[in-house]
Amino acid sequence: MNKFGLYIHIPFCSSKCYYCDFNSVEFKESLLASFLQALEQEIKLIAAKYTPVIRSIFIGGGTPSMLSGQQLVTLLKQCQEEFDCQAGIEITVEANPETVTAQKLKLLKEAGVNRLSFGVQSFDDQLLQKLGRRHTSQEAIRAFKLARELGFSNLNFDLMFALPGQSLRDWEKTLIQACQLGPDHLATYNLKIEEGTIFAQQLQQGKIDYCEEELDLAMYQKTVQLLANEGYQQYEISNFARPGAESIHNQIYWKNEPYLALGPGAHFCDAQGRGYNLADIDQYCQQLAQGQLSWADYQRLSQAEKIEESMILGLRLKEGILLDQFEKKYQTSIFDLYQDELDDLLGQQLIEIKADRMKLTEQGFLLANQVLANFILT
Amino acid sequence: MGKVNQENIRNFSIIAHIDHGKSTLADRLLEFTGTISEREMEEQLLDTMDLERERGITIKAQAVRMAYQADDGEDYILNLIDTPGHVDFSYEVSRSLAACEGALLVIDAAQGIEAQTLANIYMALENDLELIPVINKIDLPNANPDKVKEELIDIGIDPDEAILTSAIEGIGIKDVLEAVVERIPLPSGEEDKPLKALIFDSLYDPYRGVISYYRVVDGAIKPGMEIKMMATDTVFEVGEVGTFSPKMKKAEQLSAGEVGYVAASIKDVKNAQVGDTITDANNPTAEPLPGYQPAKPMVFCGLYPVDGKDYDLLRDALEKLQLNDASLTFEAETSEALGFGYRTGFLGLLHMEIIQERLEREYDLDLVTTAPSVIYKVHHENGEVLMVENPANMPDKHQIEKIEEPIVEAQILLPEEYVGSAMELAQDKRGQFKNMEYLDQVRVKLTYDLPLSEIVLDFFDKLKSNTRGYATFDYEFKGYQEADLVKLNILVNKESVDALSCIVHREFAYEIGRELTKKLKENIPEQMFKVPVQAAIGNDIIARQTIRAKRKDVLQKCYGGDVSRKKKLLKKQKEGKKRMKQVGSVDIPQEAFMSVLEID
Repeated sequence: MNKFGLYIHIPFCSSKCYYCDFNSVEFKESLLASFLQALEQEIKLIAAKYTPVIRSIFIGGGTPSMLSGQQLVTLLKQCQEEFDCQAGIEITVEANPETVTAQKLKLLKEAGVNRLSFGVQSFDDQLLQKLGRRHTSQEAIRAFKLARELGFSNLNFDLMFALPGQSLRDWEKTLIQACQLGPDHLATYNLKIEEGTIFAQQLQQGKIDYCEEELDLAMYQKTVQLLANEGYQQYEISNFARPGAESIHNQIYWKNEPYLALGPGAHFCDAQGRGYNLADIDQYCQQLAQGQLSWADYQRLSQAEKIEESMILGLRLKEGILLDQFEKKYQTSIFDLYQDELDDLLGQQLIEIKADRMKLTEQGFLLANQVLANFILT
Repeated sequence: MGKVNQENIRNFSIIAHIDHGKSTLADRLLEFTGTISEREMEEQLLDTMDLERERGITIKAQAVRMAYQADDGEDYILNLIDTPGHVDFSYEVSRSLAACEGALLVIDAAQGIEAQTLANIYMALENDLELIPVINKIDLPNANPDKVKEELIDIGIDPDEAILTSAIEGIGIKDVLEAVVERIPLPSGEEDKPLKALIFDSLYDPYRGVISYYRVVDGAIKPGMEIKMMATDTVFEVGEVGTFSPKMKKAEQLSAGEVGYVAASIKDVKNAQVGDTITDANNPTAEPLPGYQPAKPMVFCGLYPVDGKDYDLLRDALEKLQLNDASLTFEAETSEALGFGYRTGFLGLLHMEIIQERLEREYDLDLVTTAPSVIYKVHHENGEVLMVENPANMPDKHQIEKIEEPIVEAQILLPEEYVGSAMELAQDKRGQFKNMEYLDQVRVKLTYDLPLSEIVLDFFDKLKSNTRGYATFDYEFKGYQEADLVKLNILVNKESVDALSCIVHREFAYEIGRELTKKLKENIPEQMFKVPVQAAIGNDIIARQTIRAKRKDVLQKCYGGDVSRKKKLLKKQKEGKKRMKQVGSVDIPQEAFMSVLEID
């Protein structure tokens, strides 16, 4: 088993969005050279350690599209040289609309990138401003059309709801606008105000308010229903796709399969455990400059930990968990492990077991945390 | 260690209000006498339970032995027995004091004498102890030793005897030690008489059985001898005796006047009761020591393990705690809502909280505690008289001829300026005014008859806050008195939850019902369905609140970097649920069962 997904973290942004608690810093030319060098070094070290076969590549951030087309192309080339990258694998690059140019997209396409994920968030300019985004809805539309013109056939929009001041109708308009453009994939998230973000400050100062649970719920239900009507199938709690356009890379996470990671603060999961890199860019670069992997932590996982992770991740998928596969992987049956919990949850109609699989019901999806907490073993 | 001359032994304890610096002073005494070096000194060494340190109060009695060469050139053994500072533990204080001839009275130079200290001073005087006033924290900028001295005059203590110290700065420590040697009487027992030793504390050691702490009054105790516990008439062979330095240190024997421990392979905790007298089995003393007035439990509540499997563990744990806490009583009871548990009796609310926390921390038990209650005398229409200490066991109202409730005669000592607000409080709590008396120019004694049930809820806390901590409060059981009481049933999701029911005066029933349902709504988290919470008298619903349904609880974003964080969150959610009790299909957290205490 040396098949892996590969995540590459580009930790730069032109500015910090108000909701963002990711590992990203303002773009600085001075950091760039050493960062790219560190990545190259990391690719070599990872190749030596794992000799991996790569099933998918996802370049995320931060804002990967802050890098020039040439820099991204070089990065992908280095991966392809050092790793065994299977032909035609899904290669995704995240892009913010304002950083997209025709020239950059052309280069990416030539380098094998076949999926773009646009951080659109909203088609409402006022809301975009309140989120601290640097682009307008028009720029998003332009970037999307450009990508289509250049032949990208697999495009995603990231959209956010439950935003401060957003009404159900506002959200519906964004969804409709998105569908009119017709991306192949949509990921929709409700806003979570995380500690240390600008929103958290604004919340404390009373400038913004939490979205009411009822409205959040209505928005989520609207999403599921509207996108279904438009031909998008929900395949995960927050992800929708035209048949066949489900993200291969992201499904690796939910199916609890191994993935490697490059870049500061990036998380990985090999067959034995989970770990992550040093988050600080300078430290990350220094460590690699000395010829060492920049792991901040690595924990081997017990059988029980692996099982609970398979449960809490797998049940996020609409198709749920295949009982046979689970049993083969862990040499034990879900029913033996979770008898009492399953009785409870089946009784409350939060999960269902049909033929070969176990999955969340519609209600179970809405209350996923309450359900999934039951499967924690450690 | 050689034999100690009885003339060179001094046994004393320290009395102080919380925060007046008792533990720091004890630390300095230990350091000064070289009992422990500074390096070994963990701050506030005498408070060994985690809980004590966190709360900054001493709960259990502890003892330590110090060697000191005084200015007169003689070597002395000084036994310091620590005392708890809170009124709920006055029973433990009396135990400690009974083992001493004197006490240091520590007073904060800035705060002066506080209410709680007074009660302990009176107790010390009752025990004929020599009091040495110590005015501590004289280093504080707002220290006012002269004012404290005036206060000493008010309570009949010679202010010229006061020693000025700053335990933090190490000022006056030697003066304290010299005063202990000079002023505290030497122990009066006789070594030639048959053994007579007073157990003032015990603890359970899983390897050695019960270890008892005692003060030898007469005679001597040594390994190999057969001793008899006079209360249970059981005989054990002494395995080891020793003193505290402050760790246990073996000794060849301990004789009259000394303080130490004994291990005698005592497996059953009942055979080493605190307050019992140890004597020589082959040459017994005729009369046991007076022991202690066992404190009567006044407050009862149900203790239930969240996980029914822990029922036996809970019993073992209660037995072990009872070992050095005779005021703790318990007996098995069953609740429809909570399953099998124990109706447990305590001295007061703080005592109850401490026991609950010790059970959870030291014995790793998850518990549900029901609201405190008292014993009612219920006259059944069939002529029977039932003693009901659990509201859940109250018969149906049409079967009740009358209910009597326990009444106490309460005495409140307080400065004149707070009389008004204390009287108002007593009135609100259905108190009947009996008497008001001026003890001196400023101190007033109020006497009220009060229903005990009103006191156990939060009377003392309220009294303290109404009088800024100056009131002392004492009560004595007076008798039973008929009252117009009703049982308030609480229904959660249409099911009556016996553990939430309470007995209240009819006049207040509506108000309490309204407030209680409101509190329950706050304390019970949203479930996956709507949950009505109702209060009822008999079948009449008198108040209702509805807990909204939890409609959405989902983390929308979960990719490769989110897994560990998400798992942590789910773990927390599961832990939280583990601490709740499932009643019907509703998860009720611990705090909800105490909601009645939160009503204003």
